[in-house]
Amino acid sequence: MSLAGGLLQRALAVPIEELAKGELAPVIVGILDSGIDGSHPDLAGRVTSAAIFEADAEGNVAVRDADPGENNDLYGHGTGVASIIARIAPNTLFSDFRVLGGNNRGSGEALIAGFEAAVASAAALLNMSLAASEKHVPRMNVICEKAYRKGVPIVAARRNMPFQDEGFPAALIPCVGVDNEGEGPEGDWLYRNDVIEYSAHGVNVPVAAHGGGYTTMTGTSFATPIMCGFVALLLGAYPGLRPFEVKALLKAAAAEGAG
Amino acid sequence: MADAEEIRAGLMERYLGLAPGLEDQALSLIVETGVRAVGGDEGSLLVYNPEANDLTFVMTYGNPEAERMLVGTQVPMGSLAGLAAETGQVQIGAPRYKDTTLAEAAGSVQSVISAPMMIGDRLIGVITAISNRPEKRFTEADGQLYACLATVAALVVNQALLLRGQGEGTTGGAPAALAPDPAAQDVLDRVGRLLQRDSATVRQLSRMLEAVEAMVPGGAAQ
Repeated sequence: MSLAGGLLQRALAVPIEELAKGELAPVIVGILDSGIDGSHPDLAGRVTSAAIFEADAEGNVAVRDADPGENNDLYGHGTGVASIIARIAPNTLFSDFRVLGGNNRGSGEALIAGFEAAVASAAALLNMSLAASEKHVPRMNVICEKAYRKGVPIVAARRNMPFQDEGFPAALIPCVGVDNEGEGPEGDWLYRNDVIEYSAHGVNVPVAAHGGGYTTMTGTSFATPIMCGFVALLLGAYPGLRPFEVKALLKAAAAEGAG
Repeated sequence: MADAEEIRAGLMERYLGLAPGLEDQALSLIVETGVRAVGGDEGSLLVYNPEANDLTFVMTYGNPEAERMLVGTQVPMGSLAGLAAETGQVQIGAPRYKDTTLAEAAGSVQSVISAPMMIGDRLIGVITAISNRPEKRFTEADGQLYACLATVAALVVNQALLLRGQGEGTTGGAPAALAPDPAAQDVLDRVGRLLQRDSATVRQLSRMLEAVEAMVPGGAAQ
């Protein structure tokens, strides 16, 4: 099925969030973050794999597997992110790529290694609620291109405070870049003709807390999984969508007021 | 037993390379300005220890009792301050609740901002603000202001290190200075714009910038 085959018209006939009520194929979402608490009731049984990437002072990265049913989250950030996607898209399973923590900001090496592994994995969609600096762009470009050719959409967060750049990979062309639109309804996301093409409401978003319970978080990190959840619904409803088709559907839905 | 002032001075020297003086006062003013500007109740500055990979309180604002208890206390990196340190980005959050309904209705409890202080790619500390009042939850604009102030705080430290000369080396976990960054002026401009609507805060910011300016090699002539 392609856009040329009438998918666009069919897809736009139903608001994306309504897809959650229908039949959906499972979608594995790779979460590159601080880890996931796989024991949290909202996520239990939905985290299918967990890997921890840690860089030493020389930038050498060690990778080890972890029990996906355990709490592997150091900060609660990744658990919060995954819980938003899980709430929006009931068809989602998660692969946990822990690239934050265990070192002094990772120096980017752990992130790059985890990003490469995530694209090579069985994940059909990636969420990156983090922003690396411009010095990592050459390698990120290569990885993003691999993901694009493989058909894996990447939903990535704009930097919260873009003093020097918008944040990467969000500002790279293959990615669905997401900004924080402020407070508002979860399904009320926007398209804008900018480097960062989409924005969702990422203020006081209720999320699962690592170790149990719930909290609220604010920022682009939590607007991003809202968009990722909608992309997961699209992939579940129309398996095999290419990244450019996902972008086209998102833009068309926003223009039609469905978003 | 050492009091909070002594502990603070020791930590500032060890992890920021700063002796008590103008820089110390400027950082204290930044914390105070931040808390007042965002309408918070309390605030703090924590320094990063790269050897232990943890954060330690060195100064607080708004609660003298907390100051005595907190200065010198280490904070687990699993906190919101740790998350800001790890990601290099400002973070806004709230405490944990039993269920989503309570979390969503969290207007009755405190809100937290943490913003990282960076010299280049290197983390040196975090500044925070908390609100204990039901009517005050921190907004994205509050977070943006705090990110600006954290950048100014890092600039204060960097300028102090530059002034003292890189040739002397650093001690303990104190960071090395970077050459002056042209983005610094842009940061100051942004802070000024953000605070334009509040004359009291503008006066405070003006005092703070004077202190920063006094530490810049060449002073006001630059």
